[in-house]
Amino acid sequence: MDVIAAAEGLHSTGLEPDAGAAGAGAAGAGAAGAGETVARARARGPWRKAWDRFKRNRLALISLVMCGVLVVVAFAAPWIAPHHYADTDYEALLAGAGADGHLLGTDQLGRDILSRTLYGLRTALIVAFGAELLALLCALVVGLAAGYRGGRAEQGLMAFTDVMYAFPSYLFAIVMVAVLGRSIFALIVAIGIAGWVTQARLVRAQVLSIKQREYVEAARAMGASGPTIAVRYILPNAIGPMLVTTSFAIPAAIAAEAGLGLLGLGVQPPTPSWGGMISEGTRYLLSAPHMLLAPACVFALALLAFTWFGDGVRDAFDPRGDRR
Amino acid sequence: MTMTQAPSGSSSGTPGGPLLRVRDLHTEFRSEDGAALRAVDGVSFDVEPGRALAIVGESGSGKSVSMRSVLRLLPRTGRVTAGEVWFGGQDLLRLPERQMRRIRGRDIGMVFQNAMEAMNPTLTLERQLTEHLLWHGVCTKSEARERAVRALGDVGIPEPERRIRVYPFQLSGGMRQRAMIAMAIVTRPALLIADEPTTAVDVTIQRQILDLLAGLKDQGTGIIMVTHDLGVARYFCDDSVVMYAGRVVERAPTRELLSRPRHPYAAGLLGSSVELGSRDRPLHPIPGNPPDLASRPRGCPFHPRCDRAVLPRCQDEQELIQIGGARAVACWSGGRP
Amino acid sequence: MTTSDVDSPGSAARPLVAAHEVSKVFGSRAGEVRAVENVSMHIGVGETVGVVGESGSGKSTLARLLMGLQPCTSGRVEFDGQDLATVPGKELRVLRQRMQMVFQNPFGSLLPHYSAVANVMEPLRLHGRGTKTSRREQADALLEMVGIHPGFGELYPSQFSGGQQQRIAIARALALEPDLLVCDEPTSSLDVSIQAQILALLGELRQKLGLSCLFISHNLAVVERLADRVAVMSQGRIVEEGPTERLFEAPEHPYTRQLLGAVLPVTM
Repeated sequence: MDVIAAAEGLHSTGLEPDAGAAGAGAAGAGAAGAGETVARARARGPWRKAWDRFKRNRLALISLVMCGVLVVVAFAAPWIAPHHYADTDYEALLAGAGADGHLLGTDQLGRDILSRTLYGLRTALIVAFGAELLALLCALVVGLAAGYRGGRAEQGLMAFTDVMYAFPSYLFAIVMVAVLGRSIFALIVAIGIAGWVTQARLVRAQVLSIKQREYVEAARAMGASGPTIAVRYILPNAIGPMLVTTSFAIPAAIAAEAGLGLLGLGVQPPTPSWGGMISEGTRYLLSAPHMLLAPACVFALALLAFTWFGDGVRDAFDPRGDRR
Repeated sequence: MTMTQAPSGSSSGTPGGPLLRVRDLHTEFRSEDGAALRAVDGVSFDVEPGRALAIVGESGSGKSVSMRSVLRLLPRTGRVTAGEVWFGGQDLLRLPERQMRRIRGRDIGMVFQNAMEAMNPTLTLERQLTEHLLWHGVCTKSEARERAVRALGDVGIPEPERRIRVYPFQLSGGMRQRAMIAMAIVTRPALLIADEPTTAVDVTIQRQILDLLAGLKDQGTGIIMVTHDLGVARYFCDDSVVMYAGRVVERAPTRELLSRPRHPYAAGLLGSSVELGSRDRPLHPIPGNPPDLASRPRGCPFHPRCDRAVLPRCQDEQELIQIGGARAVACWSGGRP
Repeated sequence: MTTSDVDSPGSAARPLVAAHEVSKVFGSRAGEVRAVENVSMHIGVGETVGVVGESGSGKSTLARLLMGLQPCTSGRVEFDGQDLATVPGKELRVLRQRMQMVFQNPFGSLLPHYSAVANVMEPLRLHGRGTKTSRREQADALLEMVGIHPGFGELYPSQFSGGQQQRIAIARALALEPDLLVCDEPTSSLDVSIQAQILALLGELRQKLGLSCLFISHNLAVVERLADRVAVMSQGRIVEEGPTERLFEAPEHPYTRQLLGAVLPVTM
């Protein structure tokens, strides 16, 4: 174990050097220590190590908290929002921030901006997580099959993904929405399908690289079947980088949902979408800027939080990023 | 194989004195969780011109890190925390980086384990060699190519005039190692540091490379050979230094070390080396595991694995004790008789 | 022995593994690579056969051919009388239990996301041997046998040193109680002092368990120590073969002589 390697990435074993083991013959001479030292060493597999690295990164922890708060708030929106998102208050149209009962003001129909922003967060996160989960699942299944089996399956995948690359993703999403209608489900499918292709190629690349590792050959030598090897041995090791990609894909999906909303293709009103709110807010920019500010700020905050989280996940899995 | 000039590098300042003097070198690495690992823990040795010193050790011994410390080529997580390295009348550790860069590659040549990694794959040998010469200001542009060709010839590459125009990947493994040595010696360094240069090559090529290095030694170049292979040390290294867990545990002329090792670790290394013709001789492996630098034992780093350990005596820091002639052992008992 | 000797595995009449004029050719855009050419050899029961050669000699490929991990381009490999090429995939996997392999890179050959003991249990689980509890007990016993305290079983491979990792790999290879153990440069990436430990361990285990062994290495001294017979390979062919003592003391082929001559002595 080269010292340089030891310092750069491998954790020290935490095992005491053996103090005069009286093992059976020379073979026992390697025996790793007596009972007391067992308690000191703690099992640290690759996931544990990544988590430890994540914990040490302060920005990552902060982002984790931020994301956590956003998720909780989004989940609890129906309970904590002061008004329903469609409730109109005709007595307070375009009211400014701090107006009676409307902390962040109201829009042109008297709907409470704060509540709509919270529900908008809910929409954004449901779509983003849903889409990326869908994308990840498709990518894993197809990428694993293509990478492991090779041959026709792989060629088919590569050709298919090339075709999908050629499509501008927004155009594709628009087509999907036109076909499936304007609903959360449609958005999830549209955004998910647009994104899974890149991830599938990444999975395939990972699988190809892992296939070369000795433990895969060792597994074959042990008598493991193809599917067992692919699912039990290759997949868990290929998932790491996929988590990184997915973590970065979430803010992208949030932005995509907002973008579609801005174009008028998002969820049907009155269900709030940040994109829709921003679009309306732009129309009243001069007279009621608060309509634009609230959703825009929370939107930016969410993007930032999830992007930092993605950075943290990436650094946790690939700590050598900034080494010389 | 001839070299047309004697090395032009400077000696350590005193005529006839050692080429390189390392005194009490300490190097630390910062690990991921902030702990400091002492990779080199007080190492001293000398290298004389025209002689080869073998630095023998296994993983974790600190032998490679020592060389990188001398050359100041540590990664960002490592730093030298104490010591002196005297070369050409100067302490290399205290030189500004600009001056160090002039010495590195010109007066001290380096040969590493993996030739493919050491050379630029996108440049021909000619470009790499001539640029190297010109950068160090060793000669003029018109002379550079000729010197480069001569260097390739010196290391035994056939048809150097033609071969100089190839890329590293076009050479076989053995030829690449030679080309790497050519790059190291083209500036006629006074000192050559080789870190396991033959570990990755076949056994037949290994001998040729070692003969090449022995020839350089005869021409007056001082050589440091970092290796884990005692056979390599015996082949052409006059003196040896055995390292364990960042410390020197024994220092002796190679022949003496191999015929009568004193330090228990050195003796253990010999006892566990597998040799041709020794099929009936039982192996005596050293029990235990290589040192964990993050949790060193107190005092002598080897004592947990030593069959002659006496507590608490072995838990005191062991100094290198002279035991006559050029030999020294870091063991209070003076080692094996 | 009640049945006739000819039928019992690996009797004097029938070796455990036999290769008959096997060749392996790899095709690529750059052209053909004839990794193994027309090699015939056999391993008897309880015998250790060493295969030495430099890099590119084809020794590793030969090992994989003998284990059926790669199909032969021509020729046939017989394990206990069965031609591996005629054994269907599913049965081949069952047959695998009788031949196991120890690889050069100990860390690389262990599953990084399984603990040490889980690695050792895995072959048992794959072949449906026993219950989870019994498998665990067996794995603990195996770890003990190779010199790893079972209390460390929960740790992951990256937390062990190279020598310990190789011990775990050996324990795993022995879990299915194979007849044949193939070692592909098992000590080449280990330190000298650890190498000696592993070699001693292999020697002991081989004795205790009555294993047949195929030992691949570029290190002549190591092979001399462990093997009963040695085959020297160069460029895909076996250039010389014979009992260890004879081959090392009186080599006949010039390549063998060249190889032996290039080895650097230490004390002698």
